[in-house]
Amino acid sequence: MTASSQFPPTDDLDRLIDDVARRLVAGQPQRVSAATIRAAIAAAPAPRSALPVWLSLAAVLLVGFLVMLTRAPDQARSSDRVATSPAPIAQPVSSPVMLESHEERERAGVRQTTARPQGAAAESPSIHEPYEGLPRLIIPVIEQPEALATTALVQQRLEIPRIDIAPLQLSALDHEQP
Amino acid sequence: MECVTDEELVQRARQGDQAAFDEIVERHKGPVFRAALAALRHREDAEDVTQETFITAYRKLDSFRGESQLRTWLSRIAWNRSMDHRRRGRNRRYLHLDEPDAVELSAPEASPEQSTLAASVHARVRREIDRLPEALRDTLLLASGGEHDYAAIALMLGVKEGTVKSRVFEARALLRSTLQDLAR
Repeated sequence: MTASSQFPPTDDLDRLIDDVARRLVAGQPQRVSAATIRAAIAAAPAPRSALPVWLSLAAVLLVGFLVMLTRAPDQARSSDRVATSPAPIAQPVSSPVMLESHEERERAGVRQTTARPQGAAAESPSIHEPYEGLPRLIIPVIEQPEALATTALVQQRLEIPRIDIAPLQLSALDHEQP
Repeated sequence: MECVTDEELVQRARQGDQAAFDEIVERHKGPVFRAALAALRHREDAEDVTQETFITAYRKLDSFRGESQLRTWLSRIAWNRSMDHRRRGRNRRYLHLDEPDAVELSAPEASPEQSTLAASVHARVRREIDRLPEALRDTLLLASGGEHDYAAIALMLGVKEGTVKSRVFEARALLRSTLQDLAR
């Protein structure tokens, strides 16, 4: 008779499995008692929590990260936008820099001339809302050129000094000997 | 102190009553040990874990909020400690079949031959339990102990109760299938 032939029928297999499993985890601890645990607690002081160290380290890292974020957010954002913008040049409609007619330019010149003394705001003219994909365009103030003054030309008499021309004298030509 | 509830014992132990904590140890060291044994299957390691569990519980008694039974809370600590042991590879030896506490497998009136055969069958079942996937084996052994219901086991393992049920079912089905093959 072999061990295999001793296996019970299917119905009893569950009982056999439970029985073996229960026996695997049966028993009582032999060395552990209230006294041994009390002694162990007395012998080993509670470990100091390392939490404050971690907290301070985490706080330092967090502050550093926040500082980095607040220092260069605009740079990062604008460079990202430029990098990711599909075709910023192909948006002339929304671009603040537009060609103007001669009259418009003249009018703008007059407006600028009158507005200039009003303050610093006039020094860097705001150009509507910048296109999202491009960094903000700052146009320095163009100084109004001084009015062109022309002095009257005094007509002077053109004097041509007399040139004495001596009469042309021709010497007799020598005949060449053959 | 037999009639004192676990909650009262915890209250008193928190106030520094050493006798109350001793009673907690004596009352729950068995289930805690068996939970560790289910994970480690090594008695000495399970005893170490039992000791560590009660030391941890003593220090963290204030964090016990009474949302689960004290036994479940302690067993969960034991289980987590056992997992640490397992990860560190400290439980290299498993329960051997020839250990002194190996079970008495047959009835007292059984013949020596019957006893030998029964021992052989049990040894085979043990081997098959050992071969189960870890998650199935752990759950089956915890459930077979009979000390924790499925909800408590789910808390200990950090899984849903339904998962515990299905794992036990699957473990039994796998064992049944293997043992039936062997019986043919």
